[in-house]
Amino acid sequence: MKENKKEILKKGLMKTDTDFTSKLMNKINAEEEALSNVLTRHGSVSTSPDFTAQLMSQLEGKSTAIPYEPAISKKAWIGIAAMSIGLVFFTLISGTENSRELGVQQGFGRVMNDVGTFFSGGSIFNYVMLGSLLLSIGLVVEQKVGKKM
Amino acid sequence: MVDLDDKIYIQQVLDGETSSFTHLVNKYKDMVFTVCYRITKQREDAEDLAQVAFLKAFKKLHTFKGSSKFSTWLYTIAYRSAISKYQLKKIDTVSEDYHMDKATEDSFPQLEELQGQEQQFYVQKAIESLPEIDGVIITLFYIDESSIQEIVAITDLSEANVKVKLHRARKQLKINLEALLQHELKSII
Repeated sequence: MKENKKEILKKGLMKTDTDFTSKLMNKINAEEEALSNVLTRHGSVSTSPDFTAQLMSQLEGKSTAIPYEPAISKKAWIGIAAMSIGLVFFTLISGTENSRELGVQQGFGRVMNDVGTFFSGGSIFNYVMLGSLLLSIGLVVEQKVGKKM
Repeated sequence: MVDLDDKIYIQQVLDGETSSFTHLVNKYKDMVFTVCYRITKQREDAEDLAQVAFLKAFKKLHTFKGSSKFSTWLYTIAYRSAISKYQLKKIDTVSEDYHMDKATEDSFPQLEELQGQEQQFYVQKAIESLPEIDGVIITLFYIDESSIQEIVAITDLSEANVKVKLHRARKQLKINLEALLQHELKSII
C-alpha cells in the first residue's frame, strides 16, 4: 500500500530539462563573479598619500627587537624540574619499606642521615620543599617574562 | 608559504635595513587600512590603527616564523588591534540579525547609472551596512582573496562561523547592490 502510494507520487513528479543543473550552476557562478568584480573594483579603501612617510618617520632609528634567548633553555628547565620531582619521590618511596612509620618522615630521615651534617641546622624536607617552590617560581617567571620579551 | 619578495624584505629589515620595511608597508597598507576601516568605519581612526598595526608588526617581525603568509600575520595584528580597541567580540555575538531597514534599502539608487566614484560610494555604503566583522570577512574573501582557513586564522572565529557570516553578508550585499550586479552580470554573460 505504502509502496503503491510512492509509485503514484513518482508518476506525478515533473522532470527538469537535462541541462537544468548546469544552467543553475552557471547562474550562481556568474552572480558570484559579478559580486567579486564589483567588490574588487570598489570595495577597498586607500590610505592618505603620506601614510608611508608618516609611518617610516616613526620607525626612524628603531630596529626590530632582539630575539629573547633565555640563558637556561625550556628543555633544561623541564629537566631540572623532573630531577627535583624525582628526588622528592625518591625520598617518599624509599621510606615506606619494612616500616609502619610514616614514609615521608622515614624517607627524609634517611636522606638526612646520608647527607650528614651538610644541612645540620634544619630539616631536609624543608630544604627540598623550599627548593621545589623556588624552582616553580623560577619556571613561572621564565615563562611569563620570556613571552613578553 | 611566504612570498619570496616578502621574505627578502623581511630578512633585510631583520638585518637592520629599516628602509626595506617601506616595501612591505606600500604593498599591504591599503588592505590593512581597509580591514581597520571595516571595524572603525572612520578614516582617521582606521589610519591610526593601521599605523599601530604596522608598528607592532615591525617590532615583532622576528617572531614571524613564515608558517603562514606574511599578509595573514599582518592582517591578524591589524584585525585584533582594531577589535581590541573597539571591544567588538561581545557585540558581535549578540548581533544575529542585520539591521537593514527600508530607509537604508531605499538609499541605494539604480547603481548602473552611476559613475565610477559614485558606484564606489554606494559599494562602500553597502559594505558598511554589514556588521563590522562581516565586513572584514567579505573584504578578506573577495578583495584579498584570502581562503576560509586564512580568515579563520585572522579572526579567530570557527570555520563554521566564518562560513555562516560570509554567506549572510554575501546575501545582504546581493540585495543592496542588486542593480549594480545585474549590470555586471550583463557584461559577464
